[in-house]
Amino acid sequence: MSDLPLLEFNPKLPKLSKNERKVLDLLVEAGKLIAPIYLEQEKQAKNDSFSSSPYTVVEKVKGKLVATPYHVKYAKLLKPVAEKLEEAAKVSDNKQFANALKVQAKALLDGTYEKAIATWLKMPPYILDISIGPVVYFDEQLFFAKASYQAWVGVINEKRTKRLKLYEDVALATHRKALIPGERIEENHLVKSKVDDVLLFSGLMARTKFIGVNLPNDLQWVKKYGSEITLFENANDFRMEEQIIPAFNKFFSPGFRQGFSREDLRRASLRYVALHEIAHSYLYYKNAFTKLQDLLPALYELSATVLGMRIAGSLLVKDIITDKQLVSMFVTFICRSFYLIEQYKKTKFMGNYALGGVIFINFMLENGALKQYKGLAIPNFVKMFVSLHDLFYILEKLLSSGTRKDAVDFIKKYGKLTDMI
Amino acid sequence: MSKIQKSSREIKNTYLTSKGLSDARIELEYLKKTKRVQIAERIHQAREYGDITENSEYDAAMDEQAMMENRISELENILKSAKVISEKQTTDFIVIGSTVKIEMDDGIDEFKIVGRVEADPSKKRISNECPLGMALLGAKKGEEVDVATPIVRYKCKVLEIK
Repeated sequence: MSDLPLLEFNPKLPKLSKNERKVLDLLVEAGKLIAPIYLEQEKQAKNDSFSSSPYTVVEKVKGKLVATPYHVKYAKLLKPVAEKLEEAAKVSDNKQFANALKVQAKALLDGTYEKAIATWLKMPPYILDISIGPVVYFDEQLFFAKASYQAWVGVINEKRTKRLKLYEDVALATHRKALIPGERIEENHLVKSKVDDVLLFSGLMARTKFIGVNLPNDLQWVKKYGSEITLFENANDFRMEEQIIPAFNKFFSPGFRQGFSREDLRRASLRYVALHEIAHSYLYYKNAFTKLQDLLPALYELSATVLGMRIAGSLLVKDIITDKQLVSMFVTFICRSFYLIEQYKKTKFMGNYALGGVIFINFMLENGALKQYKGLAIPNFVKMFVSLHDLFYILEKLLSSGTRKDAVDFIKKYGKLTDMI
Repeated sequence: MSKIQKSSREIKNTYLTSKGLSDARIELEYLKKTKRVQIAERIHQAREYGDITENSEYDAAMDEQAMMENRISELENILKSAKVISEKQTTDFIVIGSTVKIEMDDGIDEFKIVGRVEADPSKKRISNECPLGMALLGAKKGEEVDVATPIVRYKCKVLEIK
């Protein structure tokens, strides 16, 4: 993968003031400058060794291992990014946003990332949105447990943000029991949420094309400052074209497909990701990372999807979503899983998500919630919903008290590629 | 057949708290006496800008007028079928107006059961007509009820009735 990781979108934006438009253009310019840094990281990843800090490059210099902080290693490339953010801060007539941009610019140059995260999370709602800098997505395989440079720039979609807030308010108002209460960071930390019409993905985001994130991933930071869910409304259209629709056409029969419009699936794709991100708030297990190590990401992401679907069930009985919408969520997740598995076979990219998909499909096959006939998937959604409970129980047990060996055994049983996948 | 359907629709009550009823009346009066005049004025002004086929201000005002008239009609129907929930509630079993604490799907939840008009799950008010509300009506403290839709099935235990 050597092409420049940049993805530009052209969404229909709400009316912006001249000042906001000017700031937005500068943010997009800053975001684009992140792409070459991530490209450097991709090249570096081949030689990098494990280090205790996610923001450090470890490489051999004259036969010795030398650790260099990101802000030093990539200083030359980071300087123009920081300057662009400073320029945007000077132009912006929103004082708090300008301040956050300045703090972020400084963090890029001196590594004070925690302060930048805290500043963004304290920032009151504003129409412009940017995330820029190194972020730990420990579900991303290339730099497991290391931060990847990324940026997104967007404008808040107020209508969709309201809807997401409704899901979040209802889902998080329920006190969900932890399997082993002492092992989980309790869920009453602050959770913010927003939906963006995104203009730019740069660096890692352009590679993964996530349509939702819940950041930060660092548990200590979550405890101190809370977390924020961001969904990317229009990036979902990209996923629909590239992933969901082709898999839907390939793995489901024409008769089955007639029951779902494109719009059903588009909304379902966003909805299941929204609930997946919300579910993460219930999955902060203190020792999971230490115990499960490299196997955690696949199990953690799958747990969030499975719990998200269960939460969808509780929204359904409160008339917030319909049966059709829940079923559509299952369909889009199955489609996404098939797509990722096929991609993984070709490129080895997003392996953790592909493994999660394999486990889900095998578990559903074993429980009779999914059947295959001539290469087509035949789901039984009632059984599927029941099976979610059993699958989540196993996953939560692994996250809260499982050992790496337990995880290996589980993956051996359900993580195998079969005839269907 | 259509006669029977019509009469069953007519007798369907809309449950409201006394505050909900009062709010509905105030909103209806505001829409009829103030908002209608304001929108008519906006439409009038927009027409004066010229060609209405390319007039976004005119289109927006017309859309708003349509939404307002729908809301007026909805509120009138609500008030016609309104049945006020008694302020004094029994705690022997769940009725519309009860605040309940339940355990379902490994989670503990608390909310008030209200008529559909006042339902707002984000504010912990769920409708008596949603699957959970329907299953809980009449249940006693400690009782376990089944909540079902065509796809999902839950066991729901009543922990407390307030």
